[in-house]
Amino acid sequence: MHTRYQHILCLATLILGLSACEDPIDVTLAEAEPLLVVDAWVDDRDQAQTIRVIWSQPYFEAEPLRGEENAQVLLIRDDLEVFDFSYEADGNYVWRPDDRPSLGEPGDGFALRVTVDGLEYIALAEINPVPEIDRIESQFRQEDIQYDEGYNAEFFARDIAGRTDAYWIKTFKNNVYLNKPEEINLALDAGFDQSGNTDGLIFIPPIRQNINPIPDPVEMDEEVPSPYDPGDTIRVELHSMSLDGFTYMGTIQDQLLNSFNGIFALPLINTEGNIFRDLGNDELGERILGHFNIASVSSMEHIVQE
Amino acid sequence: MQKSLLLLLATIISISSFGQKVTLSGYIKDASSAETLIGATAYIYADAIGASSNEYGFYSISLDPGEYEVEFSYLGFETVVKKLELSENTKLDVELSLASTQIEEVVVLAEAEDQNVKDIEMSVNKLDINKIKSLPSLLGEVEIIRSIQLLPGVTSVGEGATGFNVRGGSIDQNLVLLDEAPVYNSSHLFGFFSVFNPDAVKDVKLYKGGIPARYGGRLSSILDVRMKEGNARQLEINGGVGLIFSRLSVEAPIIKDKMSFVAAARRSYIDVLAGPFLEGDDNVLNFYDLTLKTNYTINDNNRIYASGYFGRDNFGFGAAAGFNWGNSTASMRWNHVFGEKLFSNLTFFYSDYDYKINFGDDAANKFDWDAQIENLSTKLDFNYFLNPQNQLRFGAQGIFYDFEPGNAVGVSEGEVTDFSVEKKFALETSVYVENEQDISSKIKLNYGLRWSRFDYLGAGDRYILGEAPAAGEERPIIDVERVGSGESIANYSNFEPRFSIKYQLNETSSLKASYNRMAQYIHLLSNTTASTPVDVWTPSTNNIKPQMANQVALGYFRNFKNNTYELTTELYYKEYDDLIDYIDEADLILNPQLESQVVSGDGRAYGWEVMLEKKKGDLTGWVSYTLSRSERLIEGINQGNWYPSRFDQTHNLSLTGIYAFNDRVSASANFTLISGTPATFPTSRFEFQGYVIPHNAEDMRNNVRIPVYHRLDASVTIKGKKHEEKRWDGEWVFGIYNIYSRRNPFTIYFGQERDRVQPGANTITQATRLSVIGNFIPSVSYNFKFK
Repeated sequence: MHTRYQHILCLATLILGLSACEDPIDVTLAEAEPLLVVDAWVDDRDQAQTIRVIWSQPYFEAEPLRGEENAQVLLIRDDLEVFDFSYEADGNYVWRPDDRPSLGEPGDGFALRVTVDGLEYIALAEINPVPEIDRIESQFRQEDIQYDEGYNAEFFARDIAGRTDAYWIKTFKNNVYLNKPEEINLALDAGFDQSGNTDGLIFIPPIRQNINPIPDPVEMDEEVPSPYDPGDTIRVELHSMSLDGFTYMGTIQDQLLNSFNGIFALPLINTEGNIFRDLGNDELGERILGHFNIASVSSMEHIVQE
Repeated sequence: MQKSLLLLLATIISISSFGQKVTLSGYIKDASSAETLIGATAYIYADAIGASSNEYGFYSISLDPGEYEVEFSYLGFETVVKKLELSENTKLDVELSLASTQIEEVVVLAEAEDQNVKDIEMSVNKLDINKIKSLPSLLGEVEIIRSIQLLPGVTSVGEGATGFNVRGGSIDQNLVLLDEAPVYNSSHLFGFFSVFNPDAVKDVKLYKGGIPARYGGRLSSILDVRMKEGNARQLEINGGVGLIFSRLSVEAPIIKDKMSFVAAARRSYIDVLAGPFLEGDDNVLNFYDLTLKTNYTINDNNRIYASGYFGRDNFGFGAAAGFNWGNSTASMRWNHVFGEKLFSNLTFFYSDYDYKINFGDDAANKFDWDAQIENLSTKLDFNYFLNPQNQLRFGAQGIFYDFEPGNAVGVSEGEVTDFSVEKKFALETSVYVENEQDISSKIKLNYGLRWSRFDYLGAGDRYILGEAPAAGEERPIIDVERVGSGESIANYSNFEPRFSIKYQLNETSSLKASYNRMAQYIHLLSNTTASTPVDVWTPSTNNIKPQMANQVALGYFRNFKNNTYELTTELYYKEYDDLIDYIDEADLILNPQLESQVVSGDGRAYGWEVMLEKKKGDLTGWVSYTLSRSERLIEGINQGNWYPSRFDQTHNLSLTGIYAFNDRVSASANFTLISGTPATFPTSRFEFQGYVIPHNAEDMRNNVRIPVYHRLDASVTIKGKKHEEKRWDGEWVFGIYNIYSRRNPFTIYFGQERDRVQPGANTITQATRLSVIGNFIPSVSYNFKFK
């Protein structure tokens, strides 16, 4: 949501960076009870779909997550077709295509029902359509404010006209997902947010170009590696989201990138998902952590040429 | 409304219509440059009456005809005593000479030195530009905004943050005036340096409370910066070469004693310093400003001034990206004296803040964005020196605002998208009357009333909003009504009473109390810790109410040892209504429907301030301490409970000392100790789609404090040898900022390590301290004066 903003702030912190210094410190944080998290982002592809039921942990605890083994996880399509997700390990509940090749198609509505310790939780979502990717291009570029020196790529696709669409663009380099917070690439229509009237356009350049790996920090005298090398495979996937899914991922993106904002940081805020306690009689209780979204996906692969 | 003002006027005038009086009036000036002096006094001991000169150096006293001994004085200047036989109205311009150190020791201490005790003003800090110049500073640059942060009640969210916070108010609650024109962004390089060129500044006054009725438009403070008029006697060149800026100012008479000018310019070297870090030759990184002023004395009763400021910060990264911002102001003023008692000033000003951003060097793929706030104003002020007991001020102002929240055009593969948000217009009008009255030799009052009105005007959209589904969530837009050009979309008006009283306990001490109510109709949209140059101002609308504040303050003022020491201590309590805040994930930029994302709440601030200043001797300086609290109550934030604002600082102590070894060598040091500012820390983390997300289980805002801030700075100034006939004066200033290299945290942020998390690995989350200044910073600069 603030991506445009962050481009500006990047410029700002670049300058401040000349005098600033950052170092890790020890901080004591308030303790909190573990909270239930449901990570239910699935898609309509004919492959295994996973929903995670886990518990939150103290902020500095980097130990493996505590998965919930005794949950019941169901997806119910609006034609009352039920998909039962069965427990495998580490809090992962998985549904594999059976006589039904996939969960559904764009336009289908779903309810997620999760039961943990006798308490029921519910969320609703619909599969939104996604446009095809037209092409991916790569070329060697000199360094400037937008690019690291080396092979950089750009994808081209056009937003679906006549409706407000939200997308998450995921990039894989040689089949490995680019998972840095800076690499989260979200779009509302063809732009960053609702303010631009970008309905039905080709994705705007910063979104098209945010498919290049961000290098790890290097020392002053070290060379920044080329984002891609000839022979690398780039796969770009376009996942459709609901509008509240876009807001949810936007909050996550802001919070994860906030550490780059320096003196211009935003306050820490909590994510607000769409999964609630079901109290029966159409009454909803408290919101739990996590979010439910069901995406439609289009993808394209490209091999970087010399 | 008009009725009550007239009534007040009539009452005041009736108090004073007695006897046949004569009036002594004129200007008090600096003998060396003919520069007028603000706040100099004319005092008659025998009758214990006097007057001080106003912002334009004009004074006026009404007396019974007779013989008088009038003493004219101003701090740091030799006192002049004139024997006068007054039988009719008399004009007398008086020139005071700068006191040399030798003379200072034998001079009988002048009455003006206990002005802080005798005067009605409270919660006001005057900073002499020469005092500011002698303080140690970051990189040797004389800094007005940083200097006022050494005063009680003035804080900042941290090093390098733009602006300042006064008594628990946010930065947009300060009205920063440069020769009466508002400056919307007072910083260069984010917040490191202010836009004021010290060589062109004559007087700096900060009102934190007891704000007189003649000022309005912001809730928390008025920073009134007045520029020099320029030496009307001889050519004077000031300049300096520092690590950040080089400065040059020229002042000279155009017509001796009648017309003069000052032109002052600064330009940064940061591009030179940063050169090695920025690859490529076409990168731009600089900031500069130009300050100009001229004045013309038409005759005894008429004087005109024209002043202007133009400054810009430029960042460019080849053709690929550019970012620049800056202020420009222009003011034209006409002082006119009607007879001997009525002084008037008519001001026209123009002020503008704007920024421009561009990305992309390819015509088919680029993004251009700019935003602006522009205003034009007319202001008429009268200063009526009714009699020695009453000084009446009244006036009116109209400000026309033109907001351009953002013009943005993106081109993507040749497809053009216009993101622009429509312009907004508003008119702010006000009238005021205020009287400063001596009730007795012990009691002095200043009471006044300001009436302000704000019209948010079309052409524009009136958004009709519904209730938010839950506290702190976006309000739905129910309807959008189109309003024609010049028609009202929303309007507000407010009475703003002001009152101050001084009770003289004895010759050396007084008690003072004040109340003020302030209304603020325009707001800076900012939700980051430090405000950014891209933050935009927005008017009050039918959905965004004006922000209001009420403040009471109580003070005790005492001087010791022949006015060598001044003690000021004040208690204040301030309440805010309709402060603005935002929903989570609000889009403050290029958002036409912004109003639906603004929420309002209450605030309160209270504190105890104490300042002990030593004003004379080889060692001068002050100790300033503030104990305070600044809190907010906003629905949807901190579960609807009060929470400390980001600039809340429990303790704030600063010690400043300046020691003159001899005529040529002086040293200064400054120590600052500030409680850690509040911040929001997470308690937990959870994984979502492979990312580790911070979470605050209690949903608290500003629930912890970052570590305490302390810093010691020092500097030494060495002046060249003094020769009577020498026209060139030079001085070297050596300084060290942050002497013991403390890494004071600006903030502590939480996040995962910067390196990529490998598939299957656990994500390490950590806390990182960001120190804007991580080391001691030495500096050297050379300043010169040619006369």
